[in-house]
Amino acid sequence: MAYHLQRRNKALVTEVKSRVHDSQQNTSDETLVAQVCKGDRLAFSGLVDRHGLRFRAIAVRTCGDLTMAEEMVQEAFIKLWTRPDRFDADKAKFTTWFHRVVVNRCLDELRRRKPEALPDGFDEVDHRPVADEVLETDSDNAILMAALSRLPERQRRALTLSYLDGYSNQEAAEIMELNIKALESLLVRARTKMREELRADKADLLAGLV
Amino acid sequence: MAEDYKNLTDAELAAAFAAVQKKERGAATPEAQSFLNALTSVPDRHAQAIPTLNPVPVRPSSFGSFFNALFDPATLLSARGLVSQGAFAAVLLVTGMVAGLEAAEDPQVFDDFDVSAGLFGSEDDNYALDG
Repeated sequence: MAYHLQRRNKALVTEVKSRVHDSQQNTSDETLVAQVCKGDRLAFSGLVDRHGLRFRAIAVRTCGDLTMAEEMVQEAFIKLWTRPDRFDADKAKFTTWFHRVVVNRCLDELRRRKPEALPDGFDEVDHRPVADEVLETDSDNAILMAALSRLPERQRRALTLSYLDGYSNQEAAEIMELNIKALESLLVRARTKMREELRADKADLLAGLV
Repeated sequence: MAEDYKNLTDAELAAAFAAVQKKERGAATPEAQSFLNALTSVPDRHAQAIPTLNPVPVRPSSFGSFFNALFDPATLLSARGLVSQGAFAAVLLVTGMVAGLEAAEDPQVFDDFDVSAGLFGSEDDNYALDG
């Protein structure tokens, strides 16, 4: 009897969560943050569902370390919960504001953890792979990432924001502090350059997708 | 070979990046789920610290409190209010009288207040007719 009640409660909770999720689908991020200001936990949960993994991926790309990236994103979400009033919807979209929060937090932490000078006579080489090497060796998409890494910095950043971070052109332009036309022409040049970089490996790349 | 890269369409490029994105986010992995669960439980572990917009109450000084009490509109015309105001007026009057009496006992001449009195003085001898 108790087992059946427990199961029914669980089903009920799942259904409520699902309905809340459905109702939040059409709610903008900015509205959800306004609800978080009023202490709405479900709105906060909605933002986590929507953006948690996206910002984790962005942080991993910035830090090059998953554990550190998760810590930084968690700190950013803690800040979002404790001081949501710091977000000003009149000045920026939530995603572009939170992108800056996460990336700046990662960069600060990287600066803070700057390695100390090694003692005299200590010349052991660190054989662990760096982030780029991990991506290249640990991914079926190594060719793509290698080509991306060969692009000029601004082109690489524009492609990363648009394709990997999932930002709209408008959002990516805001993050890069460009106007939309400038970003679009940067993307055109970046795609052309990517094609050049990929031309030799196209067959391998497409084979990896199937 | 040049035709090869020209044939790599935007859609193919987007599809390739989408595959990387999917792998990076790893939504279906247990690690990703436990990360999301940790984020969702943030409100259980942290209290909100949004500053309130209520103004900080300002406590009047003791002098201000005295005058507020003395001329409080609620008790201004009550018996207690009138007695208090009368007592205050009496104290003020007596203080003024005492100050006046003390000044009368020690009269001061105009020169005591004239700070320029000695600046333009002249020796009478300079103008004596008999030199």
